[in-house]
Amino acid sequence: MSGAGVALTGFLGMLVLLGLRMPIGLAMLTVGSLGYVHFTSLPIFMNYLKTTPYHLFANYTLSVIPLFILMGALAEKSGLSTALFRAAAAFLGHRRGGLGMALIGACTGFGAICGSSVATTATFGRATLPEFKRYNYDPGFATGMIAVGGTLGILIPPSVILVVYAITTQQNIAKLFMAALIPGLMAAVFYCVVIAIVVRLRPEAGPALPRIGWAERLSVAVTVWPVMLIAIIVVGGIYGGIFTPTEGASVGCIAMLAVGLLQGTLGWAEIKQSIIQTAETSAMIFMILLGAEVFNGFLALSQLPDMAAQMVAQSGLPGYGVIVALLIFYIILGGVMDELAMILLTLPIFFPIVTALDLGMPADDIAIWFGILVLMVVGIGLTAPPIGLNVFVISAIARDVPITRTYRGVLPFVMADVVRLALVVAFPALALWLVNWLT
Amino acid sequence: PQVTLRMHHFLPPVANAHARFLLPWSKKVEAESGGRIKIDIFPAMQLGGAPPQLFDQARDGVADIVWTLPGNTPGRFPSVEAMELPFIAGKRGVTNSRAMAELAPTHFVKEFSEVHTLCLWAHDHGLIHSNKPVRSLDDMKGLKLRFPTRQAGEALRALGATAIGMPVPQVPEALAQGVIDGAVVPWEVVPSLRLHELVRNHTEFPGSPTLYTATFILAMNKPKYEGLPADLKKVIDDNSGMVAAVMAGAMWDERGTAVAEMVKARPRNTIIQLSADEVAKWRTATKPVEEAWIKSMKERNIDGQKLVDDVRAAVAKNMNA
Amino acid sequence: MTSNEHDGAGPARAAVDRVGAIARTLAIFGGALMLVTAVMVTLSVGGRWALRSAIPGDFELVQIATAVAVFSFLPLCQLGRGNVFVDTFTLRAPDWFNRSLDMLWDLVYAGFAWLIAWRLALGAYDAISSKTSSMVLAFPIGWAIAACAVMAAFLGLVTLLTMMKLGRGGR
Ligand code: NA
Ligand code: NA
Repeated sequence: MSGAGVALTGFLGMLVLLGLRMPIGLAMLTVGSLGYVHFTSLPIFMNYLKTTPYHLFANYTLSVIPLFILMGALAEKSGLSTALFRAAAAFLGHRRGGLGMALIGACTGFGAICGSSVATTATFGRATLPEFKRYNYDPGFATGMIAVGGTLGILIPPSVILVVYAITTQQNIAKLFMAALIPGLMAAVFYCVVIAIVVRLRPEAGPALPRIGWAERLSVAVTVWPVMLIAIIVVGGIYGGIFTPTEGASVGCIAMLAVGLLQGTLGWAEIKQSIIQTAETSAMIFMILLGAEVFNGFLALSQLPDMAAQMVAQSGLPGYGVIVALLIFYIILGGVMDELAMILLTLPIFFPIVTALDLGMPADDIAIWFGILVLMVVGIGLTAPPIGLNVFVISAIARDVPITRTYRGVLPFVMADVVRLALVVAFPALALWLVNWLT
Repeated sequence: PQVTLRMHHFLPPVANAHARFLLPWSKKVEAESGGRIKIDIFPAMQLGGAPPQLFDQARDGVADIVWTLPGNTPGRFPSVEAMELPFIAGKRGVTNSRAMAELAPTHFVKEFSEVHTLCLWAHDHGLIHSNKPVRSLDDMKGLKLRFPTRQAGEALRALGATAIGMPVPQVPEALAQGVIDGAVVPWEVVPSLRLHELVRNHTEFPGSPTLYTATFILAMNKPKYEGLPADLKKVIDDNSGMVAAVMAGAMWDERGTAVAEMVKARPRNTIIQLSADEVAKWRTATKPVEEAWIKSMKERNIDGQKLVDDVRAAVAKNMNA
Repeated sequence: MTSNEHDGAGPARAAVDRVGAIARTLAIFGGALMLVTAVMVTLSVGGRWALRSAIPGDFELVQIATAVAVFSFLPLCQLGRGNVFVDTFTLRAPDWFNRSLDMLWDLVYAGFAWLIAWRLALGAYDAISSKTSSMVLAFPIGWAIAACAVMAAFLGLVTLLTMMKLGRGGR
């Protein structure tokens, strides 16, 4: 069998294992290991394992993940993310679906201090699910909105995915962050529009809350000042040139801890709970990263990505045709594999192809624009079935909602994502305008 | 092909080291073997692991050939640090690479005995790229600079700078955000890190010896090498040692010159040349680094003084080669 | 994992409880390590900003702490069945079938955990004997790898216990 044949068999085998309830990280690890051994040998694989798990977990870029999760957990336990949500709900809750829009608003604000979609999903899953339940929101609609809202964690800069893209393709992270801003805010607006349409069609999915007077609205709004302050410190610090995302996350953690201690909302019990939550979510993500690392090695050895790249190069498609084909390929691939693994694996091959395309704009612009497109398909992949990490995260929190109902809830948002993607493909200026204006 | 070799390294395929050294070197080996050797290059750590593991991957056969820096695993290969000490290396990559290749069999290869060393070399002169101009020793005070190797870090500290250690991929971001004021690297790396866009000032040292260099190794799995038939072994041998070192050194020199020209042509970038008198002050300031290193080598039963002397002599001998 | 669930015979349950307590303590230790790291980074950032001098080796300390912390998190995650899986296709399958599958995957996971523990132990030995150390502080990273190996071995034990618990009718 050819290398590509083995790789495709591996993919298929992994899908079967996943269907049979095997944890996703373990499935990638198992198939990846078998494939690795197939293309090399057992002793070589054994040697590969000697330090790989350690060095993978000791990656500086990845260290933002537990830190942002810890920051989110501290924010949640000290009641800050709930305050953010309540404040947004005070202004939007009286509309049908308003609580959902408040969630999107809160996720957008949180996305500006958090670079991880999983952390955002987990934070708002815990903070808002009880509220959605209390006001009789359709459970699948609610979990779907949280899974989608969670993608704002990466769609709104700072973003772990953009950091990885920048490293792999040697692009300027600050420029990528700037480019992501308009498409990210578009996402938040589009999600609110989708919510409005869904509740128009099914009013029982998102009941309205009692209207709240302005005095009370303002008094609720005042409670979010610590979040605002920390967001300004963290975002201001990252953009204003004081620290890296990992450092921003560290400072954010400490600031959150300080606020909670001073307000008396964080005690030893809450800190302990925050740590336990951070431990469980981080461990889950890093297990998947480990599986992806091994699976990645297997795919590279099979040379399947090389063959795919050659097929694209020889297809004779026009420039935009290649971009569209790649994005469709990414959406399909993102459906069945981990997004981080997906971009780590394919970018080294696709990136040179893409930047060499004749699209009537400079290669540097293509590089930034393509990064935003990749970010957007990653966002889709995080929520689209069968493997949407955000959906898994919310399912782990809302264990009484079947995963299929969440996927049904996610679907209209995915359609909005595809429309937004088409817009940014058709109008690169949506990503590039701010970058070119500011630099 | 009769033999397929997997070559693994950490840089992306657009990097000079990949496109202008490893790829042509591999093609040369393939051609000279009459197509009996095929080398598949896996860039960007595609086979898994992190850069510090590359050496072990070659030792253990996870990859057949790796390109890495001995400095990726600090403390493990102390002898090559003699080349990385402040004001030892020459200005040109060819000089430093020839010196490394000459000394390798007698001075260095022993520490790399777990692999078959194809080639050891070192890049051209490294320089200081910073957002504040560095014209004299005083300008170094408190400057936050990302250092490339442990010994270069010691040197920067001795010069009064704040030496900051961080992985290379973090550098552009850290610079854009003012986390660091600059980075110390050779010209070749500048475009890939977009240093010329992120900082305005580039401080060069006139002539030799220069501030620092970093050493590289191209290592092959030992059983894989020894298992080759004699004629294929010869093809590998013919492209090892001095042959490969000169290829690599010339690439760094050629790119270094081209990048320096490119940066010079940018109206807002300034290339600062330190005067010979100024450099003398810098050499005095970094002398203790060399002495401390020699002393620390004594604890490991290595004659550091002899290494330093021999490296200096080899650099001097190859100055115009 | 709450201990008031029905999870089978006394001694096994006691063992699960004891191991569970260790896993919790370990994870809290790891989380505390992350918090200490965050404090260290904050001080370093503050120092760099105000005094122009960072804590030496802050980047590599973050790296080492993250690896050790993540390994300390893994057992607790398994104990709480936090490793996500797809249940879409087995929703209507009988309980004994799903339970058997979960036990099988636990066994595979335990196998990998011990494999990784064994290989990391060798990797740690290599790193210690070759004197590989961190760039700035010259911290011998072999000891960090060794700690990860021990925690991976513990993860295998935890996973075996969660499998036995499933076998006895627990969750
Ligand atoms: Na974000
Ligand atoms: Na996906």
